Amino acid sequence: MKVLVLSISLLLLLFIISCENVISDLGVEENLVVIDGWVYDTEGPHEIRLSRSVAFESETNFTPLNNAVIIIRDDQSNIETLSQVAPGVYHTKTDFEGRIGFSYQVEVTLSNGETYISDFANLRPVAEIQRLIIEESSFFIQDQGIDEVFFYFPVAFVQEPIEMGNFYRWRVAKNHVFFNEPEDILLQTDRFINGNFFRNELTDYRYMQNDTATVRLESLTVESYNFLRFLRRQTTSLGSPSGTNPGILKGNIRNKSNDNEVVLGYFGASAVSEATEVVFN
Amino acid sequence: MKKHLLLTLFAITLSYVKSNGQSHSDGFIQLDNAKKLTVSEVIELIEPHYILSYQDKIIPFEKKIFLAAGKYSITDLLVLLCQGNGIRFQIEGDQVFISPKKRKVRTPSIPKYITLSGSITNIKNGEAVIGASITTQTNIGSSSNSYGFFSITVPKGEHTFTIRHTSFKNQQLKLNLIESQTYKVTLEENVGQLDEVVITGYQRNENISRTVSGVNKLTFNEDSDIPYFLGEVDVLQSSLLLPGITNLGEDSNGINIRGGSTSQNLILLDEAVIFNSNHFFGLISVFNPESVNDVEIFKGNPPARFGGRNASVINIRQREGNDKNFNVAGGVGFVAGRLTVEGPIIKEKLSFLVSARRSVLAFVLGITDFTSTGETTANFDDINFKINLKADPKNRFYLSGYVGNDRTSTQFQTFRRWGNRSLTSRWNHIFNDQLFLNTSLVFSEYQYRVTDQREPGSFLGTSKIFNYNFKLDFNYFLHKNQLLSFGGGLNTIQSNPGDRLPLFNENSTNPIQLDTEVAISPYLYFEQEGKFKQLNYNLGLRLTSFHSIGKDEVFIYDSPTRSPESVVDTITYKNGEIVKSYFGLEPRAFLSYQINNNSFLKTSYARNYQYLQLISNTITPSPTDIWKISDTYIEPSITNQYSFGYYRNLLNNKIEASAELYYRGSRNVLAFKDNADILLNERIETEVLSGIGRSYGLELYVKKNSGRLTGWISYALSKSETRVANEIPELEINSGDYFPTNIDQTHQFSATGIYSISKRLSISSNFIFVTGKPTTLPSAKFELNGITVPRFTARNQDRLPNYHRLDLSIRLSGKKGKIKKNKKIKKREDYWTFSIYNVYSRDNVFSLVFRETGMETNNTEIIPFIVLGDAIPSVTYNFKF
Repeated sequence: MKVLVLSISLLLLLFIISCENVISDLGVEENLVVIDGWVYDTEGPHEIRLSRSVAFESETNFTPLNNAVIIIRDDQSNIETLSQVAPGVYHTKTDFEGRIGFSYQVEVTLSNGETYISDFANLRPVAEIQRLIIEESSFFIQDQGIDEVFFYFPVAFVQEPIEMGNFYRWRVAKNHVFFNEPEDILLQTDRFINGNFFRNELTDYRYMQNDTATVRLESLTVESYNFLRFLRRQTTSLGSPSGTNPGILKGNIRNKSNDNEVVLGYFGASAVSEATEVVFN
Repeated sequence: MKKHLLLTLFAITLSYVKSNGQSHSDGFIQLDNAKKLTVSEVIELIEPHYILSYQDKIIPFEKKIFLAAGKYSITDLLVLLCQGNGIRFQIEGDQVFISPKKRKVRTPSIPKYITLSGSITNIKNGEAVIGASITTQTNIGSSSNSYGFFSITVPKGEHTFTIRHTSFKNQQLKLNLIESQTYKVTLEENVGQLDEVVITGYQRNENISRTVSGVNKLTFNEDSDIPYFLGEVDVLQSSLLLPGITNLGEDSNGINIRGGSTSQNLILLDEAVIFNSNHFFGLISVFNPESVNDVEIFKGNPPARFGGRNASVINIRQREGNDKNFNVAGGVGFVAGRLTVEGPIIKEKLSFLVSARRSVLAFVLGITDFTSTGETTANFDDINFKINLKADPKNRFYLSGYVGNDRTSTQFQTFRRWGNRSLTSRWNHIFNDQLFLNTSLVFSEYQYRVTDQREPGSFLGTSKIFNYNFKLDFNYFLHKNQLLSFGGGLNTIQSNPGDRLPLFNENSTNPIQLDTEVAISPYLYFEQEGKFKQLNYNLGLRLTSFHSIGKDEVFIYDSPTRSPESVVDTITYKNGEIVKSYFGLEPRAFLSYQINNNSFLKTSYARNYQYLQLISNTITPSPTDIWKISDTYIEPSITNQYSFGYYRNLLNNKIEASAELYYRGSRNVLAFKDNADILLNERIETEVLSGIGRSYGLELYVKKNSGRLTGWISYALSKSETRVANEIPELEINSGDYFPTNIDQTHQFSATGIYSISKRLSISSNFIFVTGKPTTLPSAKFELNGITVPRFTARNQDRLPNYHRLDLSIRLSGKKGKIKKNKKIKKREDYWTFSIYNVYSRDNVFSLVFRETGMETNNTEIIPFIVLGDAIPSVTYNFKF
């Protein structure tokens, strides 16, 4: 009996002490510089976004950095100067186009005089989307009776080049708006499909009749592929039973005169191949 | 002296006064006249009062004894009987033993020892009784080994042996040992004893007197009152109520012992290594309780006969099958249906047991992966079997096996299947009354298979690991409480870390097959168990070696960061060539000092080498994880553990209590780089880091063994930390400082109570409290590509909310019925269990998810992810006939 009394009282005690709040203090605000931009082999303008990181609980996630001087240079010493078009948003000129085989670097000088540069990012060629088709599928809703619901998804056909070591990012748009959630960072290496003619069934993207489906394939370097893979992991799988420990997401940008400063973000370059199809009636 | 006088004084007339009950010594015999009686007549006078035990040849039946008239007590008669006849007597209870008088020692040599050996079996079904203790009245002791074999060496003469085991009634054996002999002991179960204890030491008091410390043992039989988890008795879930054993919450594979990872537990099912111990993503274990005899958990320091993992040994023994009667047992609940059939093929010679289990409903698990679209269905099945042949008293053969499968499928035709298979064949041979040999040939395998039909990923993926172990285990029972155990074996491991093949011929996928890894690991061990005054000891040494064998390609890197780009050379090893060898010297020592009858101080030390590492960078282990053989770059991890404990039994062994301190240090702890890519990676060394670890703690345990209310309370205070430091900052975690491992749980408390209301109705309940697991909260957030990204800095510096839960279960036994079959009357038993898991619907947080709150705002939030937040009721019906 004593054991029972003892265990009940301990139980109650523990119950009381354990009724606590889920989340405690999230630590101090860091306000690190974030540089985010990409150069494509398409017609400009191409965009660089400048901001500072904010506390996790804050209402906004974009504190713009204005009045910075930004240039993009290539490995042939051509220089493109960007101009600010909105708070924290800088554009190249429209005639600025990335060129396959060239490497690009961004250099940002903030209004406080600090200068940041990225590593050179190589603009690699991309495999062509040779054909885009729409396939039909259906699922059943078993609420009242059995209702078959039809939906459509795009299937892209690509001839992968024979050289090993190509990396890709897929993007999908519905009615010209690109899906842009963390789950939409679709990455692929040629490790499993090298040199093959393959089809990509984008079953997670569902369309109705008369929708327009756009599928885009972008080339990546091994570095940008690894960065995006880490970015996807940090934004989609954390906390899931298959989740890993969070890590430090390192980009390719540094303070020119202070190696110890942590700079966030990434600057990359991609070639683009795109195809569009309207869902038939 | 007095009796001498009596002898010469009185005379004739014979009548005796019968004692009036109470004490036999109250009996008197009145002689009115002096008389001469034969010895056999005197014996006849004594026999109504005592049961006499003697050997005919030592009694001179015809010899006359002169008795004077007077009143004689039985003792007086016994004295007269023995006088001058070279015999003596000894009274014990209502028995009198008559034996030859000890002769004067002629030579000052050691008294002659003789050995009693044999087997101990369950009278009901002929199964071996493991770990029963045999002690003499002079406290010479031994115990039955894993196969029910015992051997005890005692001085020549008369002995009363007491055989004890918690699940069985004590048995006394009175033997006058003149020469060594074998004896078959059969024990009767404690049937229907409602205060039966389930989690026990070996026998009463054995929990404290056993030399090896930090051992918990669970026994399983139909009368077990183990609390039910989702209506099922579960081997591993039950162990979570013991101090120092935790898991990462629901939906996580495996258990963690003293801060070790799940891959650091050596899990043996009839000596076969089980590589993945869970069904249903950790909800229940792969061990069917109906086929399990018992489970021993060595928390840290196993004796020298075990080895191969850093943290613990979980040794599970299957039942052998009833060799006397056919039995069918089974049950059905919300989780699974079970059926077990056992019986003799040749009565008392050849018996079998087959047990099968299958999930009842295809479980719909929203919990398996909430990031995937569509639902996942899961189911499992498993089969256990065992055949056991008692060829002759000196030879016994066993064959047992296990096959288990888990399957899941998603809406878009991704099918996964994984499971363990094992086959164990054993031969027990008794050379003589002191030397016992077990020979085992064990095979085990774990495989994982996935097929994905959608392009571009359409493929068939497989990974496999095989283990073959041939071993010899000798037990040599020396006299004076000494037991030598020694043996060795050859372990062969083959791992196919991953194949990825096109599912159909027209697929666009290229086949990828990682090289098969092979290793051989010969080992030897030696253990000496004994007693020196109050000190019990078990000193052992295990010598292990491990050789990874070609063919293999080893990449040479020009920088310690070992990036795939820094390969400068490749060394090719031919088929059969040794690529890398490791040798391990693993001392084990256990000392137990008996302070008094009820208390012991115990201390132990063990070193353990682990040559197989689980490649898993997820927080909770997954069925896809691959076992990696130690090679040029992945070194075996080494742990040293020290423990010190005080064990005490109170109130005549009704209460067991213990306190134990431990410290474990580890080297070559495998860690992974941030963003490590371990999928089908043939250069896994490019993704790993190496660290050191330490874990330490205090474990308290109190248990009440008998009465209507039984139960136990356990508490553990512990810390488990890792340090990954390097000259190169990139190869560090948390700047090279110690940080809590994912399984560091400061406080662990549990209380379990089982209350018997009546013979048919009992209630059990358990409560668990565990400190929240370490977690990493974001220090900031930023925007990239239109996506909000949390920024993390140091790992595991925060905590999830504490975990606590109350479970309740009621067991209602049906009326015992009888079935008539073939003119035989068989007993039928059945019972229902009603249980509620998580009675007060605690939302225990499994992890935290960082999300944007909605489409419109840029606000972010932290959402607790809860696996089982509701109270889960379940009903199970079980039967046996």
